[in-house]
Amino acid sequence: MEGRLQGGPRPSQRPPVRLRVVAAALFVAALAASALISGNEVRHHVAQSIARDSKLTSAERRHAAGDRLAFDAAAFDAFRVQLQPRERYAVDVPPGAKGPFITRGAVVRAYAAFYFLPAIQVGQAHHVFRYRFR
Amino acid sequence: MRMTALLGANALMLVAGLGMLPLLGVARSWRLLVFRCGLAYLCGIVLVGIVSAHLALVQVSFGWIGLAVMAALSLGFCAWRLNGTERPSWRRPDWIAAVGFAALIALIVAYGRAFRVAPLNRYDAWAIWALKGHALYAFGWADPVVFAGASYRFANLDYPLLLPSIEAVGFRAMGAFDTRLVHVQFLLFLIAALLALFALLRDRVPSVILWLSLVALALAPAVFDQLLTAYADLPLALVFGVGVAAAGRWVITNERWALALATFCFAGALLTKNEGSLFVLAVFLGLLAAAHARWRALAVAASMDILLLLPWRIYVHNHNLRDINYSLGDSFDYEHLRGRLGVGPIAFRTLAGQMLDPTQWGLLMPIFAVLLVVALLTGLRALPLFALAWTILAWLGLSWIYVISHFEYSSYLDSTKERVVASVVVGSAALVPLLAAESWTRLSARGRGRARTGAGSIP
Repeated sequence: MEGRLQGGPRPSQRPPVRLRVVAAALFVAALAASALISGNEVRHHVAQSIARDSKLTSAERRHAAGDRLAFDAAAFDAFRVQLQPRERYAVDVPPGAKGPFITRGAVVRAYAAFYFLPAIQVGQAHHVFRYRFR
Repeated sequence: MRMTALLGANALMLVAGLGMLPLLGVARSWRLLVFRCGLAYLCGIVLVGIVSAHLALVQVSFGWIGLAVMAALSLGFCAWRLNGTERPSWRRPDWIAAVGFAALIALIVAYGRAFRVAPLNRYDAWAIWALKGHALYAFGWADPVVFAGASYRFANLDYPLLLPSIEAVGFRAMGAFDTRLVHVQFLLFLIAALLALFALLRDRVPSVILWLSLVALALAPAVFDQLLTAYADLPLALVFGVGVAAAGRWVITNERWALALATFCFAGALLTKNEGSLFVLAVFLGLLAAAHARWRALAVAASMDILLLLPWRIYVHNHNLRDINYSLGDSFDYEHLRGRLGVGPIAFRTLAGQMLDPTQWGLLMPIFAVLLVVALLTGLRALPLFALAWTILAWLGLSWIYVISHFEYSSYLDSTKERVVASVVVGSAALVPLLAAESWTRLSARGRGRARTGAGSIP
């Protein structure tokens, strides 16, 4: 056993090139298989994304984040037209349901911060965005 | 028109990146500049990201003028530094490389059809990255009224600004906050990283292995899906992955430019996302384990990275910004840890499952794992040790974050597990061609040695 492990007569009689060729072929096959598995999967993702997203209107695109959260887009749009760049505003929204990380009310505040930029959200202001869950 | 402007801005980033190649020592002649010009685009994006992110802290806006100045300086520096050096000569095109390029172009065109119509609707994309990109575009700098504002704490204000700054450069180039075309910039990150890996490894790795590796990475569904979300995880993974490949090359060859390039990419990773610090720390520890005799070079590299991160850390400190997801200080909170230590093994297993999921990453991680074993069996030591050390450390570090976080672990793990592993997988995938080529070289040398020994022993 020891003699075989440490280099008995059998391995040295094999052409050394065979192991390398088999290893190289296996490696290339594995990489090709990876590319094929991924390619087969990703082509569906690409096709679905194009089919789903290419039909969006500019309004749907503008409200995409809010729509995903089932927010009332009209309420956000109505407030946004009143805002000037760098104008301070506050958000009045009930806490709402608790999610895994933050409340629904906190998500509204976050979305308002994003949607109303370049107006600036602060804790208290003269101009207040009021939002209620339906 | 906006698309043309965005592509024009990226073309200037590419030109700016050309100047980085002689600066980092990647190209010491015109011939090498042409040979390794594939690195220029990623270097340009990272350079523009770092410069514009730092300028944003001191009320300087970076747009067309900044890009034009940087591109002009880059060309001037190339002309001055490479003056009188060896000129490039005509080489017959490699048909495997030609097929590889054609495949990647076809892939990028197909991906591009999805990226140019994608809506910005994923939480982190709008709540963190695009919000900051828009604020930088609208205000011209990292105005603390937003970037340190109490009402904006949800936006992970302690995350660094490289990605929002690149988005803001794009918005300035387009002249609008375009939530649709911002996705194209993420696809351009992928192109830049693939070109960089090609240029970095083309003289060390056989063409067929290199191109199959690049195509396998580009086709991974997680790469497409995660880039399309406009989150920072994949851009981080791509920049970090090129850094890992450069570091791997340095381990083998001890070429100074390879370490300089890795250091530059790691600076980009550090300034992209807080998790970048974990990955970069893991890589430096891996490098120390694999090449401890070269610790002085590593110390210089690590110092450069810390120096480039410093302005942002000063801003974070001055405005008392905190990570809202976890605090590393909780690693020493015994009371908190006592109830959560069981989370560690669960996170470790879950993240492993994500990395091995063939519907997300193909067979990239199993191939990497097998190659590590093969490399060790062939007698390679430094490269597999480096690869093994940083991947395990990064994997353990990611798992630890779920232990110390105060969030309910299953929700936190479920919502982030797919993307946090991206840097580990892409970094590992970037080492696959090097590991394969070095193992092959070892096997060939052994085969020749054995053949000579065998011939000698025949009576």
